[in-house]
Amino acid sequence: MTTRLDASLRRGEALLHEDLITPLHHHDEAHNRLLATVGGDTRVVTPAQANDLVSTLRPTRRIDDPGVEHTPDGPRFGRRGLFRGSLIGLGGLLAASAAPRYSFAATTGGDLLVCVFLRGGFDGLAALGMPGDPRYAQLRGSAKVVDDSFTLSQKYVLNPRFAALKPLWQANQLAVVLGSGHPGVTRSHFEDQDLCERAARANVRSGWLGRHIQYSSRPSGTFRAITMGDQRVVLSLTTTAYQSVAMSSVDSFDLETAWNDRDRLVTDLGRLYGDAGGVLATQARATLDAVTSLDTVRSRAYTPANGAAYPDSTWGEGLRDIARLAKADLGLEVACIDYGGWDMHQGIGATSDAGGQFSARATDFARGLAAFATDLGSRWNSVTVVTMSEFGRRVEVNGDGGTDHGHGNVAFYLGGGINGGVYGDIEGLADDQLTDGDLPITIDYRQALSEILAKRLGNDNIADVFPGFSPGTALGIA
Amino acid sequence: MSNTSRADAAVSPAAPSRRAALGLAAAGGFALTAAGRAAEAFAAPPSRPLAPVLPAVIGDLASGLDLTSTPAWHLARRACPAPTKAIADDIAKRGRTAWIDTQLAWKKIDDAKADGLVRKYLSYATMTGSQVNKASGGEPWRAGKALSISRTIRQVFTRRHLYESMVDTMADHLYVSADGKASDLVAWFDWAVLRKYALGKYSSMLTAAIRHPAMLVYLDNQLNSADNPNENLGRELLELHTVGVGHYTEDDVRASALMLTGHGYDWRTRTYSYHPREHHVGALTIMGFSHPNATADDGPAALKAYLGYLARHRGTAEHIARRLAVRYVSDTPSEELVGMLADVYQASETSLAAVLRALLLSEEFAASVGTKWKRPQETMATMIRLRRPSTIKTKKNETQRKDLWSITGTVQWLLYLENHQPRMWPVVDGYPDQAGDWLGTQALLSGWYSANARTNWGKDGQWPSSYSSWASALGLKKGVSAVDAARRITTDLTGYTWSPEHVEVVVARLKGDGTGTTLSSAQLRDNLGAALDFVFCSPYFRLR
Repeated sequence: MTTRLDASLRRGEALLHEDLITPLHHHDEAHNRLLATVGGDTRVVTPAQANDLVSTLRPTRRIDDPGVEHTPDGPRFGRRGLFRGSLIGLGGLLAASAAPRYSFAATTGGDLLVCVFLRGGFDGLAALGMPGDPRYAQLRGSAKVVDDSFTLSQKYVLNPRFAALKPLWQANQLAVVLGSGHPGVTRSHFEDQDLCERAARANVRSGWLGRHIQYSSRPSGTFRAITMGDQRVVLSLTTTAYQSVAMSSVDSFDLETAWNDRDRLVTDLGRLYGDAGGVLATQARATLDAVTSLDTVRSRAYTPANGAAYPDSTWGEGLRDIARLAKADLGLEVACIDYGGWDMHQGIGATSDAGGQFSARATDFARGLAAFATDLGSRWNSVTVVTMSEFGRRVEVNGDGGTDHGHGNVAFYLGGGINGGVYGDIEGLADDQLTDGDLPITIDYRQALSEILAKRLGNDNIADVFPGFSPGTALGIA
Repeated sequence: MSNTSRADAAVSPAAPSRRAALGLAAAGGFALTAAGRAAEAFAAPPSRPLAPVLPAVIGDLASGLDLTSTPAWHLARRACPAPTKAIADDIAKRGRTAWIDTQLAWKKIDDAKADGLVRKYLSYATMTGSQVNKASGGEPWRAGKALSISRTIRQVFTRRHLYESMVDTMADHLYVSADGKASDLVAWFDWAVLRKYALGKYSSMLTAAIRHPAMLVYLDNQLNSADNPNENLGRELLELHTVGVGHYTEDDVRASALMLTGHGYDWRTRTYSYHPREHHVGALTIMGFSHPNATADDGPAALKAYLGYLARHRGTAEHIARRLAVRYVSDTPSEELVGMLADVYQASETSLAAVLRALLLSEEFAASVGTKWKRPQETMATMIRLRRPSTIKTKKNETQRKDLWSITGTVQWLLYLENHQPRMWPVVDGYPDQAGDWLGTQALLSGWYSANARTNWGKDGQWPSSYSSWASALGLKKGVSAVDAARRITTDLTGYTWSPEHVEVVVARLKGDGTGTTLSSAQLRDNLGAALDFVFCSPYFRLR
């Protein structure tokens, strides 16, 4: 489900010097490129070259630079080596501090945060209807939302395909944030996903959730943070200080062996890879520890509680696995899960068409989250779900019944500790109320997230998680 | 075919500047790395005799292991899709240089077994687009799957080790996915371009590739016209296939796309076709290349000249050199090695065989033991080859026309779990080839999963079903001493000398609950799988 990005770009280390390196967007995101303008010529450069350019012109190293080696005497700079260019995939294993500490926190005290990345550019206005706006119906064409069965306010309705979320809305546990986004988005899938997940400019080479894990003071454990549904750790969770686990699913994350050999193989491989040292040792240890911990979870067949019915989809299965892990009390604090396929340049489909492209995804999305909340029961009170997407889409539907890349978006925040309601406002859809035909970004997504961090996750180190961002007036979302 | 290159390399005066080596020579007044190494003139003669014993300790991936190996095994692990002791022994017997030269003369090596199996079971992989459309009853997409499956068959059965290895290497370079837009054409691309030129001239390979329907369709060039240019192929031609980023400007990309206008595809005949009316007419300049391109009929000639220029460009030389160095030497080859290989490439008129020969005989290659991590296709093919299958047997419905995935049993499924089905990387740049790309938690686990599948799963769904037992495949009989058996499934299967304490783990696994120094037939039957599983999961097996 994950939107595939050119791996060489995804692995880039230092792409956030927008003044030096310009992203070039291609309709097929696999073809996105980086441009460097030097000496009057604009050329395509590799991430490695971009990094070299940046580090040549901006040599200042930060402490969270993967090139920094952490030693007992403090950080040592300048080590750039073996895995340069693939540090994100490895979570910065070269740093001596990478080895996780393996004390398990049975309970964490803070919420479990589930971060849903809607890859491809979620169309907020396909989710949100503004039936009273004079231009709405005309601009949205066949993709307009006119059904008023899920009314949010006098001005806004939600696409009825999200109906499964209605009980949460009525329980005041669903917040809809309008005009949400990162103010620096560029309409490039690649660059903007990185921007949102990194949530930092300058030379920071970690993701916001990775930094959250790093800078919150709780004991560490293998399962503090996971990426669900993917072989590789998402950028949001990347940090040089902590190796988190990525798994396609709970069931697939096991060491299959001959009969009765599993525990022995775990021991034998742990020893052999431990002897091998370096990256292999760290990587094998993280894997085997996770396998061991998950063994208990897997050994019991999982039946969702309270009659929760997850949709039969990758998304549903992913949420179900997160609930399963949450209930296993492994110390899970953050779970990242992707939901891809929102890049609908054509054929969004009518709201009335259940099989339409957007309708089908919206239904699946809402049913999955509703089942997740039901399944968790009283635990839902200490769970927060946030959604984000790299950018919103253009307000006006294009000639193919789709929408092209835009700016401001709609974001959902759900959870027992969320103060439900609509946050922010879309003034109107007249030309002078839009930014180049896009919804303007009126609420920095980091504002809502920093409230979640402080109020629900007990992390006040906002400056470390979102460097360069100063929270404004609280929205009161949590 | 390539004997001149070594001498040429040895005397080459063309030491490229470090900036040039980094591909940003024209980018202006800055050096792109802070590495600070002087750009020394190198004359790395690859002909110096190699030390008989490789360095005992290699730092990089597994610094804690004493990776003692032999030069023959090192060459086998790097050059073969499925390295075994038999191959390493052959290399040792012939001598490395002689073995390399024999392998480079691949046409002289009889590969009837592999060819025959592919022709018999996966003939779609040997057809043109229109042939496969007809043969498959209008399901030409089956050709892409057939190609993917055929790769494992060739990797397992081939005797043309270096050749088949290069086919896959160049497939990642001039990449066309077997899934997607060109799935019906990619098998044709494989035999008409990659297999034809894998050890030939890159200039010929490039020209054939860019004019092949599979590449044209995969990168949208059939949509590229003077009125409505599509830059996809024009850009990738520069970035992926030839000079690499840094050498060209965005203006060059636009001109490159215009140069390609008119070269398209005829959906009725399923062949390449040139459409003069869609071709941009007028002089074009791309980097240092210019062509008057004066009439619509000049398109093909102009493209040919352009591709010839690109193939011989220093940037392309370095790009190819780096591609091969990363594949065969290390994740971080030195600039000196890349520069030397680029010199060989240019001096040999873009001969891939010449570059490969110089690479495999270089000191940096010899010193690179244990610095590469195997990709799943390599571990899979090796595990199968070690079982010494003699052929393929399929059930009635397991044909390319019907249940084609099952022709190789569970292999495609396992490779899918490992994210490495042949030719099915979803992005235009081919599979990554550095350790970090294959060491994620889930990646490690799925690799171990496959090891168990190959050693402990029953016959159901296994390929080839004509397997002998592991014990007989490895020549282990009852009464063999446990220590001897352990040596034979550690050092003999991996080519690295295992440390005594690690061998001891294998001995314990072979013995199981039993005592005594020799293994009974029951112990072999019950315990060999668990012992082999451990070996195949180990870094000794997975380090290339």
